[in-house]
Amino acid sequence: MNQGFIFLLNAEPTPRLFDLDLQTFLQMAPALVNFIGLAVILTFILYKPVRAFLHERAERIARELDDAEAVKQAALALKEQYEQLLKGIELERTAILDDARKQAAERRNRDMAETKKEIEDLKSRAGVEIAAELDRVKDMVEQAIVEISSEMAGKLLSVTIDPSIHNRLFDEAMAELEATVFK
Amino acid sequence: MFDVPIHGVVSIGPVDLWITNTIVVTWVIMAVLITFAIIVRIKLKKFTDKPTGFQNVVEMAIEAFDGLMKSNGHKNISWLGGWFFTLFTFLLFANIMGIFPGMRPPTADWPLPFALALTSFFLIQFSGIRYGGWKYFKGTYLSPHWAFFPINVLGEFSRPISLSFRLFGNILGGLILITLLYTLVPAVVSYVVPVALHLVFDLAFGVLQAFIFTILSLTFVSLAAADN
Amino acid sequence: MQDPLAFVLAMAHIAAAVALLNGILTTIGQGNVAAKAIESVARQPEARGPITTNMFIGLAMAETSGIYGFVIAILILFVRPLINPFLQYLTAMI
Repeated sequence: MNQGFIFLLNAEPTPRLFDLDLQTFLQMAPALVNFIGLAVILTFILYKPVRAFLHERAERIARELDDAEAVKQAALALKEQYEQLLKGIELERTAILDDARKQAAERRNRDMAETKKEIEDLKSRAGVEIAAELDRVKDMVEQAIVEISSEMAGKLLSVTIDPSIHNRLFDEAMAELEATVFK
Repeated sequence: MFDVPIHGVVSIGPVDLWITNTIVVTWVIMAVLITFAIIVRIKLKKFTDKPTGFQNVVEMAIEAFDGLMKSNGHKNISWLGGWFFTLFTFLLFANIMGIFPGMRPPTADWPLPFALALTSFFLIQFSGIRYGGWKYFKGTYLSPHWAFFPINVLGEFSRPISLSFRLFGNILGGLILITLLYTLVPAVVSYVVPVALHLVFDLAFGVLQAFIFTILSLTFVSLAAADN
Repeated sequence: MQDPLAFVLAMAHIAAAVALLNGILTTIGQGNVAAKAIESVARQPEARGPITTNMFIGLAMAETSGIYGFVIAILILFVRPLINPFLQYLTAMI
């Protein structure tokens, strides 16, 4: 025993490590009192208030989470609505585009048809002109043939036939030719 | 060498009550814990939703202990949460007291662990009788036949004894090892080498034994409370 | 047997050593507990928390007998409960 307070000491205590006498069980009394007091104090000062605080906060946070969930649902509904709207706009756009495309195709077809007809006209006109030219060439060729043949016939006849017959024949042939060709 | 120092004696009539180091260190731990609790109580009004620093520590401790109570304790004994919380906190501080110079862990003195184990024993009986009634008493003490009553009583009483001696032996073993090492190594080295042993025997074993004592008491009481 | 006190002290130390021998079996038991716990964790890694808690409880339970032996050894070595009766016996003899 080093220092301390002694009241009405019965016997000098000797420090020991472990013993199973009355003093050991007496020692348990202050330990019990101390610990039970500490338990009561800590329970009512520390454990319960902090736990209540945590519980209250957890509840509040759960409630706030619920609120946030509701707000989120509302926002989602709004988003859905806008998406529907957007989809309508999209449909409209597609319709307008289709219409325009159809119109353009129609117009193109019409233009094509007109152009084709014009080309046909041009073609047919050109065919007429070509035919006229052909006729003209044919006439020229015929004339040339007539001239050449009359010349050849003249030469031939001048040799064999006397001029009187020749002239008559010539005239007849000429008349015939004129009748056939230049009528 | 490992005796419990006696700081004074209070005589009540014919009996002397020794004010041992155990009781003094218990008072120190109580003072620390109650101061801490009062600080928390004052600061609780300023606690915010976003915990920082001090508040975080308090919340983590209480929440961890709440989880322990929920996972190991029967719902009948949730009202004993504060008791087991105090038990764990007190034992935690008591077991690691050896790291402070001049402090002897109070749990290395048998009366304290045995007193705590006795409270656990009475809580076991109390919750058993309260929630199980006569059935619990019959199932525990008169289990196969009423003639086995003394053996069952011995079996029940072995619980606080084994609980207390487990705690006492572990902490005393750590204390003895560390004290022997301090006396063995030279004075210069004694500031370096035993630090590792302090870490193992005071901190690790102390925390572990506090946890085991608490969780075993909790399990026993919870088993008794669930017995119906 | 010149000095009975020395004999008693020597026997007390031997008794403490014998009391500590149960640490062998205690350690084997605790090793079994830890091995089974590790097996369980390997089989069900998601149940790690409860298994660890129960492992510590089981370790503490298995440790009990070892702690009893240790406490008895400590008592024999440091509390010496048999020395006082022995000294009384010696003084009675004289």
